[in-house]
Order: sequence, then structure tokens, then C-alpha cells
Amino acid sequence: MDKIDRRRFLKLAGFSLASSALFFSTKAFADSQRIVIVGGGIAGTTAAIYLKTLVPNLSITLIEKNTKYTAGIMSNEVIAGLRDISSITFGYENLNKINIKLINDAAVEIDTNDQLIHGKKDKYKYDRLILAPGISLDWQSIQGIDNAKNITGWQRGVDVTTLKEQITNIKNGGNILISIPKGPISGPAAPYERASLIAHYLKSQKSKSKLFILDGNSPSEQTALFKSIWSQKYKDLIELQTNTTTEGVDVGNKTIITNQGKIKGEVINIIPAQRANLIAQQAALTDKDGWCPVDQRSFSSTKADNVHILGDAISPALGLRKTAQCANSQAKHCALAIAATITNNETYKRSMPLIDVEYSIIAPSYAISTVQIHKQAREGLRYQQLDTHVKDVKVADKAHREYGYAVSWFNNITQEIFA
Amino acid sequence: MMYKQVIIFTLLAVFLNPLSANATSAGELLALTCSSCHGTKGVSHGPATPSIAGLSKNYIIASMLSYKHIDNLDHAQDIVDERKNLDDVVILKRSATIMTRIAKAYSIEEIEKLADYFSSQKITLAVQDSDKDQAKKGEKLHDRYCEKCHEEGGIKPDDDVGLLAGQWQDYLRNSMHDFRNSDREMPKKMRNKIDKMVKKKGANSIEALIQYYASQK
Ligand SMILES: Cc1cc2nc3c(=O)[nH]c(=O)nc-3n(C[C@H](O)[C@H](O)[C@H](O)COP(=O)(O)OP(=O)(O)OC[C@H]3O[C@@H](n4cnc5c(N)ncnc54)[C@H](O)[C@@H]3O)c2cc1C
Ligand code: HEC
Ligand code: HEC
Repeated sequence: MDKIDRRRFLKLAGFSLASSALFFSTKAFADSQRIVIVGGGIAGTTAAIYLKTLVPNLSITLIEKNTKYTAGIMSNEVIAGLRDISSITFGYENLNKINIKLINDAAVEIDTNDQLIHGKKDKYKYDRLILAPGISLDWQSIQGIDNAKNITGWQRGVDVTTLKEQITNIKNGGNILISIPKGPISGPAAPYERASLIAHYLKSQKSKSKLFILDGNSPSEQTALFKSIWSQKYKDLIELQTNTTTEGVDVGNKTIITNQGKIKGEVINIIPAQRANLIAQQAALTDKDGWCPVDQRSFSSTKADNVHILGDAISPALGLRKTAQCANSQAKHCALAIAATITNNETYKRSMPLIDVEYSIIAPSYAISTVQIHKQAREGLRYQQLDTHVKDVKVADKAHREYGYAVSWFNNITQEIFA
Repeated sequence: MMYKQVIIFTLLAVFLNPLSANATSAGELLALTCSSCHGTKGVSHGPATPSIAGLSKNYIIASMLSYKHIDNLDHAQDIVDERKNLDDVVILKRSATIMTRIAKAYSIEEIEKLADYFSSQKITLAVQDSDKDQAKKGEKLHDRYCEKCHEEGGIKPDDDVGLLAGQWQDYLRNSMHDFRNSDREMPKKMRNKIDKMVKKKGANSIEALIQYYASQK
């Protein structure tokens, strides 16, 4: 009897999922808890939704300065003309449906002693704050830069459209410069993804043009992976210079000044160094390096009580990358930790793997992924990294599939929190 | 590019509450990690990553263990053989872009809990385009060659045969490709049927079947 037959003849063991659902009388306590979330990006919105579902009678307010969220994810496809900006722009209508209060305001000051947020429009008291404001760009490190005019494509949705226009208007033979700062950034592989997709455009439309990447970092596993792909797909279109720090820019002459010399380009895309959003810096929730130290289990701040910090803003000391997938996972872990405290439910305290995946699109129908698996360490701040798998064995064979899965990931993660 | 229209408009109309109120099962909590790729409660918005809601428990366990121990499938079979409650689980070789890396994070106990959770979720058929004529041809082929195991047009994942009807067609295409390349091990009797069908009806019959499964709404 072969395996399948054996199985077909065996009766399926019935299983019941009738989990002896435990209900907690949390109502009185939860009602008195004001949870305020600042920042309705990937982390903040995920936390709001899951906390609300875990503890339905909790009062949750989300303060977000914009009326729509423009995702960083897939924005490089917009720049390369492969996708419309509307497909990466999301509203917050869903929050209303599940009784999460959305306030369109920008937090300008947080007093962690009085547990009070000063917004532009109003003040908000909290019993517990979840701060998920993302990054701020550090302009000071670059001489001669005008932050109002520099198009980074790293924070403002409008940048994406402008950058797209600049690239479309470039003359055949004009060069593009992308400058990457030293140190952690939001979307670690995103500058390389952007370079790939712009090269895809140049290859078919402006084949005499060239793209120079001025990377302030030393070569890494990631650079090696992309370089090997570029050498097959975009030979002579992309030139990567590592250990090349941008020190200044001469806007009039369209020139970047680096520690390795000057370089001219028709389109200049300087991505400045990054740190936790100014609001976190202002509230004294950051370390000297500009990032927020947090406890690896509950993501509570080590600097103030009743404050949790999530997403791009947290300290690199935890060993987690600044990706949307990671922000989303952190938010779920944090929601569970808060629910555990409020409801005393032991199940919520379980330790779960934290899985971080970053897909990078190289061309239409061609993508790669990197995976990091983390487990909460028993002690200390840092996550224990079980496995990093930078390169799939046969990239070229699977790249077409990974494109479909990358698009699916984008659809599913955005549907999970914005629909 | 081909995906473009599909991506933006294949939103399922229903709002899925991400968790049941007062979620307490460990499987449900572990499953939170899967939703960013497989969709809330395992219902994927596609266009390629499979829905896993409603797959049978044994199928999920077999898949996860095969992914996890892709370099040593005998070991995976030993693991299930040692556990009385998993007697029926048959490990077959699978091919993956990413699950081989992800499954490594989970113990057999956790995999069982995940399987309990996802197998108890409701199947939701993916809304996707399909070719009518092809689908018609596919339906006949299905009845003749596949229905015996993939019952009711492939919508019944019972007997651990996976889900065909309403699964994302890109995923089914990948699965069929892997089966035929021997990157994924086919149950022997299924291989016989498929070989027979391709011999008689030509290799295009595979795509007709995929269109049939995609057409079910
Ligand atoms: C170009 C680019 C491409 C990327 N590609 C990928 C990718 O392919 N895969 C991936 O996983 N990650 C990618 N990332 C990274 C990903 O976007 C971030 O890691 C993720 O968005 C972090 O989530 P977050 O919630 O911490 O911050 P964000 O998503 O940035 O959200 C922060 C929110 O806080 C709001 N906010 C800030 N300050 C205030 C205030 N004072 N008051 C009220 N609201 C405020 C902002 O408006 C924003 O909505 C990319 C990033 C960029 C820039
Ligand atoms: C980063 C995205 C991602 C995450 C996270 C993820 N999966 Fe997957 N899963 C996939 C992809 C893509 C496939 C298709 C196989 C492949 O290429 O890896 C798949 C395939 C599967 C299959 C096989 C489905 C079938 O019908 O054959 C199962 C079962 C599965 N995943 C379970 C899980 C579970 C359980 C989790 C959470 C612990 C999970 N996955 C997390 C992307 C993901
Ligand atoms: C003898 C029973 C049998 C027959 C006949 C059969 N199958 Fe299957 N099929 C199975 C089993 C069992 C599995 C699960 C294999 C595994 O665990 O990986 C399966 C899995 C599959 C899958 C993978 C599903 C997924 O989610 O990845 C596809 C696709 C499939 N079959 C298609 C077909 C088609 C098409 C036919 C008819 C031409 C067919 N099968 C005929 C038993 C059968």
C-alpha cells in the first residue's frame, strides 16, 4: 500500500479547536486605560488594530499628522514608472469601523512625566503611550544642502512623484547619483532596490545614461548579492562606490562632494543619515546615537514609564532591521505584551519568533528576498538572531516567483492594516 | 506588469476581523506572524502567495515539516512517525522560495498549533480572472483525472490533498511546474494520472485545469 493509500484508509483523527476560551472581567480596568498611539504608519496602525482586537473595550486613540499614508514599500516601483502612486496610498477609514479613534494632528511635544502630548491642535492625556513616528532625516551631516529642495524619496510622498518626473525627464546620457548614508536607515535594501529599478528604466529608455551609487557603508553581504545580480542584468548601467561618504553638495553645479572626490550628475538623490523621529528626540526618549532604546519583549522605553516605542525609531542595539515587516511584527508582540498586562492572560505572554523579511524588486517579474529570524533572548537588550539567510540558493531560477510573492506580501500586509 | 490590474482591484470586500475577540489559543497568536504574507486568518489577497485558511491539519504539518527539514526529509518523517497523533502525516519533498527559511523558526509543537488554527479557518475562494473556454475544458479534465482525490472540483482539502479551487492561480502554476520537474514529490497515483492525461491530451491540459480552478467563485 503506498503512502497515500495508507492515509486514505486511515480515518482522519478528528480535532476540535473548541479552545476553552477564557474570558476575563477586564471591562472596568480597560475602560479606565487611555491608550494613545502617535504615528499611524506600519507599526502604529498594526498596534492599534491588534490591541483593539485583543482587548475590545480598551479606549484607543491614534494621532497621525497626515490624512493618508503613503507607503515607502513599493515606492521605488512608482519612481520607475511601474506603478501608480495611488496604489501605495492608504486611508484610515477602517479604524472607525472598529472603534479606534483617529485624530488628525501632529504631536509637537510629549511630556512623559505628566503623560501628556501637546499636539498642534489639542492636548492629549495618556495612561499608556505607543510611539511609532518613524525616522527623521539628519540634514546637518551634509554641507550646502537645502532640505526643502532636496528630494530624498524617503519620507514625503510628494518626493516620489518629483523623483519620478526628474528621472523621466533626464536626457539620454545624463547621469543619476544616489547617495546612501553610513549607518542604519529605513528600508536597508531600499536604495539598492531603487537603483535597480531606475536602471531598468534606463536600460530601455536612456541607455546612454548611467547610475552612480555613492554608498557611505563598507561592502556587506547585501552589496555582494546585488552586485552579482547587477552584473548579469544591468552591466555597465550601475556603478557602486562603497566607503564613499557624501560630505556636501554644490546644488548650482549639480555636484556631490564626497570623501573620495567630486562627482557630477543630472539627477541627484541624496538620502541623508537617519535617526528616530524628532518627536522622540525631543521627548528625551533617545540615546546619544539618536535612536530609542527599548525592552526587547514589550518594546517599552527604557527612558520613561508607560511608553512603548515601535518600528523604525527603535535602537539598532536590538539587532532588528528597519523594515515594514519587522515594524508589523514588533507591533503584534507589543500588543500582546500590553494585553497580557491589562488582562492578566498568561497565553499572551508566550515567546514567539519574530520574522523579518525584506523583498527587493530588481525588475518587473524579478525579485529577491532576505529573511532574518529572531527570538527573544532570555536576558539583555538584543534579540537573538537564529538565522539570516541573505541569498536564496538559485536566485535566477526563483526570481520570477519571488516577484509574485513580493507583490502578494505588499497586498496582504497593507490589507491587514488599512482595510 | 501583468499583475498590475490584479493587484489593485482584487481586494476582498469583507472586512476581516484579524482575531477572534479574546483570542486565547496559542495557535491563533503564533499565526499572527503568517498574516503579512498569507493574509489575515490565512486568506491571501494574492496574486501569488497561497491562501492557507482551511487546508487540512495534516497537509499543513506535512508542508511545514518538509520545508523545515528540506535537507533531511527522512528525519521529518521520523518526527511524525514518533508521534502517535500524527500517524497519517506523509512527508513529501516540496520546493520553496521562502518557506524553507521561515519554517525553521518553529518547533513541531508550534507547527501543530499553527495547523490546528489554520485548518479551522474558513476557505475563501480568491477572486481572479480566468479564461472561460479553458476553464470549460479544465472541468472535464478534472472530473476525469483529478476528482477522485480532489473532490467537489478541488474545493475539499480533506484527505490532505491541498486546495485547488479558488487558490491563486500563480501558486497552482508554480506547484504544477514543481511537480512536473520533480522539484516537488507527487503522490504516485497522482503522477500516474497526470502522465496519462498529458500523454493523451497534451501539456496544455495543465493550464486548462488551472483556469478551471481559478474560475470557481
Ligand atoms: C523608499 C523606501 C522603500 C522601502 N521599502 C521597503 C520594503 O520593500 N520592505 C520593507 O519591509 N520595508 C521597506 N521600507 C521600510 C519601511 O517603510 C519602514 O521600515 C516602515 O514603514 C516603518 O514603520 P514605522 O511605523 O516605524 O514608520 P512609518 O511607516 O514611517 O510611520 C510613521 C508615521 O508616523 C507619523 N508621524 C511622524 N511624526 C508624527 C508626529 N509628530 N505626530 C503624528 N504623526 C507623526 C508619520 O506621518 C507616519 O505616518 C522602505 C522605506 C523606504 C523609505
Ligand atoms: C514572507 C512571507 C511568508 C510568511 C511570513 C509565511 N509564509 Fe507560508 N508561504 C509563503 C510563500 C511564498 C509560499 C509558497 C512556497 C514558497 O515559495 O516558499 C508559502 C507556502 C506555505 C504553505 C503551503 C501552502 C500550500 O497550499 O501548499 C503553508 C502551509 C504555509 N506557507 C504556512 C505558513 C505558516 C503557518 C506561516 C507562519 C508561521 C507562514 N507560512 C509564513 C510565504 C510566507
Ligand atoms: C490519487 C489521488 C490524487 C489524484 C488522482 C490527484 N491528486 Fe493532486 N494531490 C494529491 C495529494 C495527496 C496531494 C498533496 C501532496 C502533498 O502533500 O504535497 C495533491 C496535491 C496537488 C496539488 C498541490 C496543491 C498545492 O496547494 O500546492 C496540485 C496542484 C494537484 N494536486 C493537482 C492535481 C491535478 C491537476 C490532478 C489531476 C490531473 C490531481 N492532482 C490528481 C492526490 C491526488
